[in-house]
Amino acid sequence: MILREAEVLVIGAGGAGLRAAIAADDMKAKALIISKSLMGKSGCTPMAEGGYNAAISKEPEDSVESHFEDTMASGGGLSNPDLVRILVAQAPRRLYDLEGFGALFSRGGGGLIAQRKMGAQSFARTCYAGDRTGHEIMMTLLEEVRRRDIEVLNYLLAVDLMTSGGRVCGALTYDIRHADFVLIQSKVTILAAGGGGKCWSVTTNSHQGTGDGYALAARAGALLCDLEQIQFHPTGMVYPDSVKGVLVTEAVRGEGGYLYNVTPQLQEAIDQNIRLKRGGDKPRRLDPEDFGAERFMCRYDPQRLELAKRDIVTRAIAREILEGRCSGSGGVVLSVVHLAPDLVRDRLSTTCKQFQDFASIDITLEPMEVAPTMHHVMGGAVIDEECRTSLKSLYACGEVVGGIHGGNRIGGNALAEGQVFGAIAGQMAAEEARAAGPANGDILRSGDEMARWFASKLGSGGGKSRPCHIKRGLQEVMTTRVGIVRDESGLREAADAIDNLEEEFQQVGVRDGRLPFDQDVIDYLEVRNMLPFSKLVARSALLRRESRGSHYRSDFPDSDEADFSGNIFALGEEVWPEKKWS
Amino acid sequence: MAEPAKSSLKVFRFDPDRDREPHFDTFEVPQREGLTVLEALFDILETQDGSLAFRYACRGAVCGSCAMYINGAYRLACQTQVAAFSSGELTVGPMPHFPVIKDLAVDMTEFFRKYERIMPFLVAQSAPPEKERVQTPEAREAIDEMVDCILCGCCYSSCPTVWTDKEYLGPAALTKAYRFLADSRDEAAGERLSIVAGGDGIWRCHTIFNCAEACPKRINPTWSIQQLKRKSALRRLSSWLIRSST
Repeated sequence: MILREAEVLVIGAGGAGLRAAIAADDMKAKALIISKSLMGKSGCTPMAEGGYNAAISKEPEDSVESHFEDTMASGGGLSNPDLVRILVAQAPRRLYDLEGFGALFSRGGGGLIAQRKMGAQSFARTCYAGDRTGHEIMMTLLEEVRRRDIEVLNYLLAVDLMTSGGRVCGALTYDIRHADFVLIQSKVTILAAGGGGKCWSVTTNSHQGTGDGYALAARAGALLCDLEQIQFHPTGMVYPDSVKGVLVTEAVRGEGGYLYNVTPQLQEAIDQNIRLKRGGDKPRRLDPEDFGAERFMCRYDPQRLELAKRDIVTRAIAREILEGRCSGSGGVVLSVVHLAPDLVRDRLSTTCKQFQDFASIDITLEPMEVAPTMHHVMGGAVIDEECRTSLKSLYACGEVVGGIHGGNRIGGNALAEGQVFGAIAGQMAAEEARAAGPANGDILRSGDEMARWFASKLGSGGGKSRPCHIKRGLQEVMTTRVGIVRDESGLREAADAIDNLEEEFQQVGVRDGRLPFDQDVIDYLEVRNMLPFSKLVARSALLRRESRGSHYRSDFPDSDEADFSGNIFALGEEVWPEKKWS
Repeated sequence: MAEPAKSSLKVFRFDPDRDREPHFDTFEVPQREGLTVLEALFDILETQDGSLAFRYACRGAVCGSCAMYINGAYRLACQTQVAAFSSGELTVGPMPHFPVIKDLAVDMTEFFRKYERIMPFLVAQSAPPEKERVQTPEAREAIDEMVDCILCGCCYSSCPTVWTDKEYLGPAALTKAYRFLADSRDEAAGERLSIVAGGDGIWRCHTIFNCAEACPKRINPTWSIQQLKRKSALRRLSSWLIRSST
């Protein structure tokens, strides 16, 4: 085991983590960032396409009040207004920071930052860099971190937070590259470990999104909330199978894309195009409108149509699919065929390449097949306005935090959230670190114990079950029972199934564990996080016997306003409803 | 029912700590529609050999983690379908000319060290304005292609100068340098040009275009390097003219 020290330890190298480290560096605190893969490659930020919401438009005149109202209205009564106020007020300033660091946002009239309208927004508020906004933000943050020479340790998977006397004093991590434990002692720790999409089998998240942050926080005894609120993005790819779930950005609808269900005539035309392409011919131009397909959002949200709130579009698509008005691969279609091809190629270049490369589809000529895909965990660690969690010396920012987006996150608010709360967490953590005495030494003993416990698992594998099998089993349960449409019996089955998987997991070992990039070890440590996180999601979902935000119960299809009992909180294995801010 | 057809993957194996020499293992993977090389590798990992090492993250061609050398070409494993090779036989290796950590996972340290040498960040002497720095859509579009780089290392691995010259900055770093030089907001043109025009920079590029062919994002680093050469020559010429006129 290797020992390291840090003033401010940042767990996670996505948008929020890097922004936190930069803010800590501004305050002259020494930050140490740990990244689960190569810095900047495994979080959700680089994959985010649509944009960053900031109320900066002058023509027409947008306002932070309007951004506040849109965000609160989308949250379904679960958002913490104090946090939302901070988000909307500071989003513009943090956007200009990014621009100052060098980010290249798309430009509009007068050379100013251009903005587009996304779902559930009153104004064109989403700033973007084509349709690779997150990639641009990530590259910029990486460049700024390099400019400042902030230390980064790559390939470190956080195993557990270390606590002493109720205070978080570091983390035990596992170095995937060198197959060794690294115990990091810190004065202050920032949890910016991102989301948990990989607990479902169809997700936009990268392979590393295994809910580590929620599990780490829960095991250390931090308070969490809203874990039943899982956002399924309306549009993920459905074909081919290997890219199932990969995000099709909301910007496609923002730029004017239409959703249609699939008629037999449309299916026939799609099939015919596939045959043409297989034979080496060019596909025919295929506008769903010409094949009797229906713009079904007219039935679900006649005013906002394709730009309705995400949970509404998601459920609408799910329903069309469930009732059979879908393609052979199980999707509806999203079409930009009616838009000018030049505009599509310019504003949606990534989407063009994505469909060309993965599905051999020219989106200026043919519609895209899409279906909902697990996208964002809106719940997470409870924080105050200064990003403090309920544990001393532990701050949190980014997707791992709960209480901001409530029941439904607006597209474009996540990139903004990462920057706004990342900057606050970094600043506050640095202030605490400066005032703190030397790091607490107790951590050594507990770190050693943990590492010994893990060593007992090494070489003990080789039985029938491997960690990856538990992973697959869990994904299956979460997808079928804790998905878009839920009910009492399904959720109970899920909770029981997760209990069984936990038991099975006790018997699972790791075959070798001494090799670099040993997938058995990675799977083992990830499953150890995925199980408790998934369990809290299922249990929170059981407790909310109503439909609210993204949590839809077919046995309780309406929101219960008369008997609203607030947010659902989780501490350890306990879950309960309470009105703290709602 | 008949067994599903299988593809055959010949996969590079090497553990520098234990093996004297690399070797290839052949795995049969059941075919399915749209199966990517990355998925096939996961299939091997889960059903045949749990010790296979490779890097991965986004599976959507935006993170650049899974760059490999597949059937003689640089490709992202997540973006390459097994069915693209009608023979049904694939040879999968790590990116050549990078040190192998294990199997398909390579060490990117040198790549990033050189990348850092060109000052890969915006340098503005003037304090940032209250809001954004004004930039015309045309000025923004001029560097649109270079901004797409995902730092996968394909171009670097494909470059013959990189193979023979340990200190050559390489196409990715130089493209990045051009991205900043061409950025209307950057104010470090002189310093950056001095770095890239030094002994390890642009003049070592022999315009072989391997990098442009290797890039999975269809960026043409050679073009950026040519622009740098032109800027550098102009700068030398103008400083010579100024000197000789005074």
